[in-house]
Amino acid sequence: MDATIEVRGLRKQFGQTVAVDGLTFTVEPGQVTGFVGPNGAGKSTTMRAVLGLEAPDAGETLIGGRRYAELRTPLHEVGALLDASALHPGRRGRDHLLWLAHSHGIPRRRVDAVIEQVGLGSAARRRAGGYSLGMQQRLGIAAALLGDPPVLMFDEPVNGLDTDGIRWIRGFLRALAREGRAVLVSSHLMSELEDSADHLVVIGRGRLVADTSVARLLATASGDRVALRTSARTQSMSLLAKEGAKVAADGRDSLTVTGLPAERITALLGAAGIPFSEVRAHRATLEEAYMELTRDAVEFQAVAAAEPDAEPAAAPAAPSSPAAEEA
Amino acid sequence: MAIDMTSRAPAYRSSLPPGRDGFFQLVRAEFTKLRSVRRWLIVLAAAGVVSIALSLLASNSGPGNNQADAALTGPGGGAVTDRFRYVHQPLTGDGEIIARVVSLKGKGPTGPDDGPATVSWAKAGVLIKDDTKPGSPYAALMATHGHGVRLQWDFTEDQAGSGSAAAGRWLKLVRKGSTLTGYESADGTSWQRVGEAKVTGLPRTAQIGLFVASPDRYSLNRAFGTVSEGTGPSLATGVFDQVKLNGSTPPDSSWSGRLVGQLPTPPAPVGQDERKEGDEQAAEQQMKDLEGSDSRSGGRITVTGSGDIAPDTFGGGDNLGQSLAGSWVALMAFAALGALFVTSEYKRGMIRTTLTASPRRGRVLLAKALVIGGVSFAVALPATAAGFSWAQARMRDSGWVPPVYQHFSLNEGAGLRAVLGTAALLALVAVLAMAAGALLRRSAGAVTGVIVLMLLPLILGSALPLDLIQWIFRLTPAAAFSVQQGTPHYEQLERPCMPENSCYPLPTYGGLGVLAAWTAIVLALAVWRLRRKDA
Repeated sequence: MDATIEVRGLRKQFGQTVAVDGLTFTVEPGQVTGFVGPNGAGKSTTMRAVLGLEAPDAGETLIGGRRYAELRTPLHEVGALLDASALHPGRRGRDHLLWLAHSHGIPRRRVDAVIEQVGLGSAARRRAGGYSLGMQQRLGIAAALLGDPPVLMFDEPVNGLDTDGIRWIRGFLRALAREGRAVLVSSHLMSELEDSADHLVVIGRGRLVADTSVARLLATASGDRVALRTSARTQSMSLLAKEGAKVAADGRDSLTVTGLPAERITALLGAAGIPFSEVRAHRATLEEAYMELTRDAVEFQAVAAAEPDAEPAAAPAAPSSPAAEEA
Repeated sequence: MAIDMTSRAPAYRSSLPPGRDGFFQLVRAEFTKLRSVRRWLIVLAAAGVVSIALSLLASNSGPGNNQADAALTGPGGGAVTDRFRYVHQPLTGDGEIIARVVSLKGKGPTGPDDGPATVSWAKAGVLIKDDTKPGSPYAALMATHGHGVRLQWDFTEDQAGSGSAAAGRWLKLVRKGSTLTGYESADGTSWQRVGEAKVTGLPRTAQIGLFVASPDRYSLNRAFGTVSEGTGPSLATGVFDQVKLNGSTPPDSSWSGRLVGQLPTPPAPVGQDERKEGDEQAAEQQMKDLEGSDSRSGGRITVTGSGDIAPDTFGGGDNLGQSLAGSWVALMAFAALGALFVTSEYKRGMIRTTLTASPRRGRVLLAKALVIGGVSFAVALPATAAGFSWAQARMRDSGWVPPVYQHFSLNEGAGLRAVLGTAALLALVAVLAMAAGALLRRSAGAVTGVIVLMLLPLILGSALPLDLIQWIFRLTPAAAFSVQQGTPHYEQLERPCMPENSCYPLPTYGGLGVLAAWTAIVLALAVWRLRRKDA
């Protein structure tokens, strides 16, 4: 079986609301695919559809080429963490895994193995009602791993984890992908995927916005912009414009130059004797790249902003501090 | 944006053994779910303990009738009434008796509240009996005032013939060994078979003849929470002609009339309030009336009699349900647990995990039903058996003894049936509540619905008209309480079948079948909804 998730022309409507609208993408094995979009963009609906929990109004979803309902031992085909809090509070973490294991005839030692793997340890013997969000996430990930499936789906797995937990899960996701598994991880914050995702599927309002590798997205978003800080703004502008660059004034002493590499700008300014304090080539963060993407999807942005039920966090957040590097 | 195709890594291969997707795995998973929530185990244990405790509590009362020694018993061992006017002669070996009932009419004493002059079970007919000793084996073919022609034998057995009126009906009773066959006819030439009775213990020479009996008048007053019944003696006169006896009789034999059985003392215990105290003469006259009379003129024989030949369930009562009273409360715990077993998954969204692990949704509910039903049965059975045994032992000690009260044992008959049936009832209630919970996805509605359907009919009982409550006990899941009926209902008695007296309109397993049908229907609806709807 191919370890893939295929979503083909998926459409799902709840009443008047179109949650997913003709979505098509494929999650390939051997890499972590980030599934990004604001809250309410249709990520969870898509994942539920993949797991056969929602019946699509149109299109289909396939795991390794088969519909979920056709899977006979689904836990061995795909592991999923949808809602970590979907636990009975009176049941011990280990017992939660145990009933799942029983449903597939998975031996007990596998239960203990996944408990160790996610670092739940002795907490597995406590009742789930007393779990922190982070413990719930770990238990949910353990449940997804129970059948040792080649395809994994995690809906917002970072939620509720502390810094150590976040670092752990990033490494964990990468390790899973390195083993040749297809890993789909959703998030409403692009920054969460910064160090883990190889590939991105970006959606907004149920539609595909981008399906691209992280490397390519960053390259595109970074463009060839150079930030220049100089007290001789006007001189610089005319000089660089003459050389064929597009120059925009950002502030009293800062310019953004497009069309010339940083080294050439330094050389030109130096030759003309124009003083400058800083020249730096811009390298976009994922967050900025995401901003860029969603800026392109003007329609999406306008409507998303008008969406009453979209939480504040749902809107593509402005980069809090543009991470910049010296050229 | 361009789609980026990465080079494919080799697909992941798990080292785990291949999974199994059998129904057994699903059942095991559901069982693990059930046993791993401690609160549910506590509910189960509490259901068992409460069931036993309440059965014991209900067994605390003494019996209503302590005249066990005085009771007359029939061939079957149960208490019987055996009092009638008998015009008879001995018959040796096989033979037959034929008679035409000219008329059957009720006769005083009647008061304004005594209802119609003739009680519906007033009867006139032909009868063969061991001897004239009350309680001995017999078979009788009779025309009744309100229930057509009947063949009855050994008190408890009753077979209906045609619904014809008594007047003008021909009756024929044929003896062949211990087999008695009844025939009826409108004209004395074309005969219809009514039925056949096997009467063991009938000697070669038995008494055969004509009889008339008229059971006590019965009045019933049902109101919320109480049932009051009144009885008072009645008389009926039957006129026969065309009487023919074929068979071997002693040469000098002729018809002789007598009262079989004992007159009641005092003659009119209930329902005759209008009689003034000290009116002894009237009482004496009435006693004399009740003895009955018989006379012959030409080919006609006129017989006047009172009493009845029937099982006696009036004095006693059915205490089987009482010793299972704990089940009425345990039922609530099982209903709650059944509903929670599935609604707790909806409450937290865990149902998605369940359906992800098992995309074949119908099987999930079936596995749940099997687990909750099986576990409930396993808990309910020992609890019910223990509560029943203790309660019955206590009640026997306080005077609930045969023949007035039936003896119920865990090993056989109605006792065993009731204990098994009650455990099955509780298990079905748990499954019904689970199915309702899956259908409604709310525990409050599911639990309330099931408890109301099961217990409200019991509580309402006498507050509703008898016909209505009987229909309720035929159609609602409460019909299943028929498993707790110990004493059979005899149609040949005036007393109707009342749920408040532990008499249910459906047969034992019929009632359980109604509950099972409800459970199956609700479960099917739940499966349908689960399959159809998004989770």
